Amino acid sequence: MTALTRVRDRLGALTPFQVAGTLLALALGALAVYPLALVVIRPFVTDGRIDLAPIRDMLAQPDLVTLLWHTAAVVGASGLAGLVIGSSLAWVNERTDARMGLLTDVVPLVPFLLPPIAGAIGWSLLGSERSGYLNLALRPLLGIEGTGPVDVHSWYGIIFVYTIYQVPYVFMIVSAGLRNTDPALEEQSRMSGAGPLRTLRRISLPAVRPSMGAAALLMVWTGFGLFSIPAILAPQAGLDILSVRVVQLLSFTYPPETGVAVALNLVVMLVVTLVWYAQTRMLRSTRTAGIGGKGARPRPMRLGRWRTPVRAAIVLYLALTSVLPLGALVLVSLTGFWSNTVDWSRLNLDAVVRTLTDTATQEALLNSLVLGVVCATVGVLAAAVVSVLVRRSGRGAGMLVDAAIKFPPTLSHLVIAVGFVLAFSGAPFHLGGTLWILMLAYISLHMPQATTASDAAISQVAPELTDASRISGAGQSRTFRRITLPLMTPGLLAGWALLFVTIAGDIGASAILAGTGNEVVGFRILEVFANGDYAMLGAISIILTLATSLVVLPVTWYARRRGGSPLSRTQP
Amino acid sequence: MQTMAKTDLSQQTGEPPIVRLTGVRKNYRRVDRTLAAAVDGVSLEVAPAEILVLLGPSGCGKTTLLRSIAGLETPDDGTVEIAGQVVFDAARRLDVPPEGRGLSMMFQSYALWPHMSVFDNIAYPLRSRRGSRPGKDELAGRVVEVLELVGIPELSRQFPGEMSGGQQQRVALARALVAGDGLILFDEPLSNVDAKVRERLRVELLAMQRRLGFAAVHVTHDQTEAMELATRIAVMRAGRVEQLGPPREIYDRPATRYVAGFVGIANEVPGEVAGVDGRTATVRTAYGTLTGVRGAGLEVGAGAVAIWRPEHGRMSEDEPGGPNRWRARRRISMFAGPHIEHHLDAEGLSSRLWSGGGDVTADEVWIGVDPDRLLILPA
Repeated sequence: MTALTRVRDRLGALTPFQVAGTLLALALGALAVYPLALVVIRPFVTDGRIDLAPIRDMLAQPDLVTLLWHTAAVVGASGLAGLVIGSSLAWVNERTDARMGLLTDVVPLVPFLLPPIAGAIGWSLLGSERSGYLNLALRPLLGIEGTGPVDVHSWYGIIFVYTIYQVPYVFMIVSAGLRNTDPALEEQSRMSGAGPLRTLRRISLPAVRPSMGAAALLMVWTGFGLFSIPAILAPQAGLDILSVRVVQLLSFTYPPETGVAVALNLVVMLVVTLVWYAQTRMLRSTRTAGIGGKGARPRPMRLGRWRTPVRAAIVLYLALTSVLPLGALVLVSLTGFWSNTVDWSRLNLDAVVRTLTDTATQEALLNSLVLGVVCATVGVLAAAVVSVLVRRSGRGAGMLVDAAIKFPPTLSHLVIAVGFVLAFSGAPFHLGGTLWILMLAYISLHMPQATTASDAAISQVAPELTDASRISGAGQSRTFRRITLPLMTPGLLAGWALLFVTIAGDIGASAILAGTGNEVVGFRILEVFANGDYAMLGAISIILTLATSLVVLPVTWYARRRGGSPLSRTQP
Repeated sequence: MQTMAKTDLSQQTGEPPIVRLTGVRKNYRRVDRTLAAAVDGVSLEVAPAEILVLLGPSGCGKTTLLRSIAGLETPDDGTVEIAGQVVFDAARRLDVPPEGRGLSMMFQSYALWPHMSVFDNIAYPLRSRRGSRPGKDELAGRVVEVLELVGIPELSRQFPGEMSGGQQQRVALARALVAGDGLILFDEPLSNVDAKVRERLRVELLAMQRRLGFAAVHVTHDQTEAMELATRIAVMRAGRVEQLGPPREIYDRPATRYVAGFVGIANEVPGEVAGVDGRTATVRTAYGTLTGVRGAGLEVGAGAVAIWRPEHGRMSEDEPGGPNRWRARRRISMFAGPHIEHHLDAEGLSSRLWSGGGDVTADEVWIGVDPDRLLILPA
C-alpha cells in the first residue's frame, strides 16, 4: 500500500532505467554515426552542394562487376558452407552421442582464437603451391613432382579459409539456441515416426532459426569485412575482393580515393541491410518463439553405426582447421625462416625468445588483452541494455537506435577508423595516439556482434519472467539486474568471448589508429609482416593464441555449463 | 469467529472495494489493421476477501482485463482503482507501474525464475518491495512459513527445473502469497496440471483464501473451477461482462442464452412468446405451450427459448401432471456414476436428462419440467 502513495509515474514519462538506457543507446549511436558522417559525407559534399561524383567514379571502375562477383561468391559460398558445417557441429555436440566432451565443446572455436591474419599466414605456409608445408609432405606420398597438389591461393582455397573463420560464429550461436530449445519437441518428432534426419530438418533446425538468422547476419557482416585473409591469399589467386580494394584506394593510391572506397562500401551496406531486415523479421515472428521446456536434460540421440564415422569427420575437421595452421606457425617460428626444406635437427627457440623479450611486442600484447577485456565487457553490457529496450519499445524509436548502432560498422573498419581519426584525434578531444581512441573505436565497431548476440539471448527469455518480477515489486532496473541479465548470461558470455577475441586480434582499425604510442598486437603483426619476419610472426601469433585461449576457454566452458544445466532453462 | 467478525465489519463500515474498474477499454489492431476492442468498457468492483472469477472462452478479453489490473497492459480508456487508490486513469494520463500497485499474481506458466532456488524465488517479492524490507531472519521465517502453508517445506533448496509441474505450481502459489497482499491475481494457474491435482489444489486454494482473507481475481475458461472457487462470477463475452453474480445465480438464473450455454448444460426449446405475467412467461413451442420463469427483455410474439438443465427434467412412463410435459423417445442411456444420462429425441430436438436410477425401461417416455425450473429467455 505504501508504494501506492508514491504515484509519480505518468503515461509517457520515463523510468530511470529507460532514461539511462536511452542515453546509453543514444551515446552508442552517436559514437557510431558521428565519425562515419565525417568520413562518408565529406566526399559527397563539394562546396556545400551534394556531389554524386564518388558514385559515378565507383560505377566507372573498369572491373566493378568482377570485383562484386568475386566478393559475393566468396562470402556467399563460405557463408553457406559455414552455416552447414557450424550447425552440424552444434547439433552433433548438443544432441547426439557423438559428442566428445571438452573436445567438441570448445575446439570448434579454436580457429577463432587464431587472429585471421595469423590464420591466413598459417594457411599460406601450409598450402602454397611450391613450398607449402602440406605440399612438401604430400608430394612424396602421392609421387608428385614440382608443385601442388594443393593450392591455397585459389578459389577453393580462399573459400575454405573464409569458411574456417565463419564456422565458429555459427557454432556458438546455434549451440546456444539448441541448448535453450525444449528437447521434448524433438522427442515428440521421433515418437511421431520421424527419423533423426527428418527430425533435424523439420524440428530442430526450424526451432533454432532465430539463432541461424543471427549467425547469418554476423557472417555476412564479417565476411565482407575480412581484410587480412584476402590480402594475403587473394592477389595470387587472381581474385578481386572488395575489402582489399578499399584498402588500396585508401592507402596505396595518391591522393587517397576515399569517395570511391566509401561508395563501394555502400554496396556492402545494402546487402547487410537486407540480411538485417530478414533477421529482424525472423526474430519477431512468433512461430519461432515457442520454446518451452520443463527442464529435462536432453538424452543424446543415438547415432548407431554412424557414430564412429561422424566422430572421425569431426576430429578430421578439427585437426585440419586448428592443428595444421598452428603447427605451421610453430614450425616456422622454430626453424627461424620459411624455406623449401625443413631441417629438423636445427629447430630452436631463438625466434620465440626474441619475440618475448621484444619490448614493443610485450607492450602490444598487454594493451591488446586489456583493451579486449574492457571493451568486450562494456560492449556486451551496453548491448544487453539496448536489446531489452528495443524489445520493449517494439517498432519505431527502438528500431532506429538499433539500426544506428548496427549499421555504421558494416562499412569497412578502415573507413570508419579514418572517421575516428577525423573525429577524435584533434581538438577538442586530442585522443590521437592514445588507448582511448582505440577503446572507443573497438567498442563502436563491435556493437553489431554484441547486439546480435544479446538480441538472440533476450529472445530466449520469456516475457512472463520479467512480468512476474515487476508484479513482485521490482522496478525495471532491479528486474534487469536480477532476472533478465542472469537469464541472458550464457548468450552474453558467448558474445563476450567473441568480442574479446576479435578485439584482442584486431588488425583493421588498429592499422590506422594504433602507432608506437599505443601499440597493439594487430599493428605489431603488420609491422613484422612488412619486414618479412615469418618466424617472429609465427611466434607472436602463437603467443596471442595462447593468451586469448587462457581467457576465453574458461569463460566459454562456464557459459556452456550454465547454459547446459537445467537450472538455466529460460522458461519454466 | 474471527472471519465472521471481519466480514461483518466490512459490510457495516462500507470498506472501499479492493478493485474498482470504470469503463476500462483496450483496443488492439487486427492483422487487417482494423481496430477491435479486446476489453470493451468493463466496469466492476471486487470486495475485500472476495474471489471474483472472470469466466469466458479464449479470446473473450479476460486475460487482457486481468493484465490491465496488474499494470502489465495499458488500457486505452477508463480508470483502475486498487484499495481506494487510483492506479490508472487514461484521462489524467496516470499509470502506476506493476511494481507500485502492491498486488501479487500467479501466472499460467508459473513464470518461475530458473536461475534462482525455490527459496530465492519466493523471497524475491519480499526483497524487492520498496519501503519495509525485512531482516534476514524475518525473511527466512516468512519464506519457510509460506512453504509450509503450500505443503512443500522440503523443496526450499531445489531449482524449478528439477521439480514436477505440481510442485512448480505450489512454488508459484507460495510466491504469490508471500508478500501478504490484499489482492492476488490468478491467470489460469490450474490449467497445466492433471485433473486430480487440479481438484486438490482448488480445495487448498479456497482454504488458504478463507484463512488469509485476501481478495482474488481469477481468470479461467473452466466453468467447474469458476463455480467452485467464485464468490461471484463475471461471465465475459467479446470484451464485455455478460453477467455478474454469485455462482448459484449464474447457474440457476442465467441472464442470456450465452451464459446458460457456457455455464453447465442447457437444453433449449425454441418458440414464440405467448404471454408474460409478473414473474412468469409462456412460450409456444413444438412441445406445446410451456410455462416458466420470465427472463428480461421478452416481448409477446417475439422469438424465445425455453431452457432447462438435465438434472431438472423428470422422466416417467405415465403421463405426469403439471403444465410442462411432452413425449420423447429415449435414444441412449449412459451410467455416469452419480447419475444416469439419457439422450432424448422429441419433435426433432435432442436433449439430455439426468436421473437417479434405472426405473424407466420403456423407450417412449414422458418428460416433465417444473415451471420454476424452466427459464424463458429471448432467442
